[in-house]
Amino acid sequence: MQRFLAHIFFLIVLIGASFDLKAQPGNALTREAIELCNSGDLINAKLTILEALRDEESAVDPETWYVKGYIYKEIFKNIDKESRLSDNREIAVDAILRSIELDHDRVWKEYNKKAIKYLAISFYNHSIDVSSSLNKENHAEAIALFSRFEQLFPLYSEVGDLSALKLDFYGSMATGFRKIYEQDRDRNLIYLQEALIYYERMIEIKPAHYGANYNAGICHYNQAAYRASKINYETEIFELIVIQDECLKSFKKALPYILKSDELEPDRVNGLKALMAIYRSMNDQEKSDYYFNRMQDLIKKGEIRN
Amino acid sequence: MKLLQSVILLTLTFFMSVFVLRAQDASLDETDVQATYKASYLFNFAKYCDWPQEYKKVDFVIAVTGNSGVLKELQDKYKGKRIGNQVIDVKEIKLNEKIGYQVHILYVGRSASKELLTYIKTFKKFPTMIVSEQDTALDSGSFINFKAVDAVIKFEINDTRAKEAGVLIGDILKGWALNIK
Repeated sequence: MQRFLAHIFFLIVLIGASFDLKAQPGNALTREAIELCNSGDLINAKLTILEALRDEESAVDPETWYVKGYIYKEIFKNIDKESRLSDNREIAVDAILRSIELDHDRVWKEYNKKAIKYLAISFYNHSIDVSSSLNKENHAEAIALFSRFEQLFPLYSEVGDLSALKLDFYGSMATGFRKIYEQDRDRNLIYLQEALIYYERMIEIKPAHYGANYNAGICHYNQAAYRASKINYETEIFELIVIQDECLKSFKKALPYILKSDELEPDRVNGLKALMAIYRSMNDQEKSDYYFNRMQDLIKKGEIRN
Repeated sequence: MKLLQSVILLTLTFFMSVFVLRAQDASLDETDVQATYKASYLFNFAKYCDWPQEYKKVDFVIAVTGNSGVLKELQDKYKGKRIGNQVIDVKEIKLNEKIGYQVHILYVGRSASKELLTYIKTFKKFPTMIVSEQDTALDSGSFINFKAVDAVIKFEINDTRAKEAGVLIGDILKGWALNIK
């Protein structure tokens, strides 16, 4: 719920984070650029502000750089339609960073903060977009986009906490990597390891995260179960012993995660089913039966949850 | 008004994205892991043992009772494969059922352990390899017994009983056995 409220807050902030461009700069070209921008002529506004920055005085004026950032942000938003491939966003960021650097008296601090916030959030949203449809080609892009957001975040939020947003991004990446693995479990094993890295990062942030614990456990379990499912008439006894040893290691890795998820949400049917399967696979029928009976009790009482 | 609409729309979008993220829990692999191990062992027992001549003229029958997982695994992956010239057939048998065919291997699963002695008696006069998973099963007349060692399934052999019945257990199997009687 807390995470959900954080999302809503973030949304409202994003909507409200429009730039202000009402200043009355001394440089005539900068003034003209502002007017062009306000009238919607972004191309000429861009050409004019670039012209303004050729002037030595304007080139070290934080306001001129802020206006440049604003115009490029408008181009990113209205012409590039917030495309994640837009170069204009990066130019806007660079201009705002330059404005912050030159703004020794912090006159433009609040304007720059607003600007950076808008741009940073656009990187965050894009990182979630890409991670939600992760494939072998785009995972580096998702990481780069989120990394850009992380870099910009402290510039607008001195006391902000990134944890909730990191949890969402890591969760999305972990799910994405897991799905790539599931497309071809023999060839894509490396992506399962990537998924586990992201689940671990989530657990590091929030040890009591049900989803991260449950999914990390299932990744370990499924890896072993898949290995076992490949046993066939060509499998010799020595291989069978080796496979069992390897599977057992994975079951032992899965167990603490699933036990933790069960401790966090003991009425979840998935956790109970997983514990039944793990103990059964480890030849411990007694413990498997214990979780089966617990599940039956919850079903009888109508207290079971998916 | 437009701003309010945007807020509502984007709020709903975010709500749905949160819901989707929560709904993407991994699903549990349904493989019956223990069944895959045991079925593979049974196939290897068939491969590395020798039955009397009269048991080589018919299909090689692996019968199962008391473990539906092993039965399914055998039916899915091993039925129709060959042991020498014999084609493997997999059958489920039940207590007191009249069996009108030669059984080469009978696996009595844990949930049928109480019926093990009855099966041993029933097949005593035949070269039917009884495979069990019960602590004292070898003493009771089982040929091979599954035993878990640190959660790894291995097996022990009653070679004397096998020889009495005319079944020769190969050296490869003996080499992997936990103990041989």
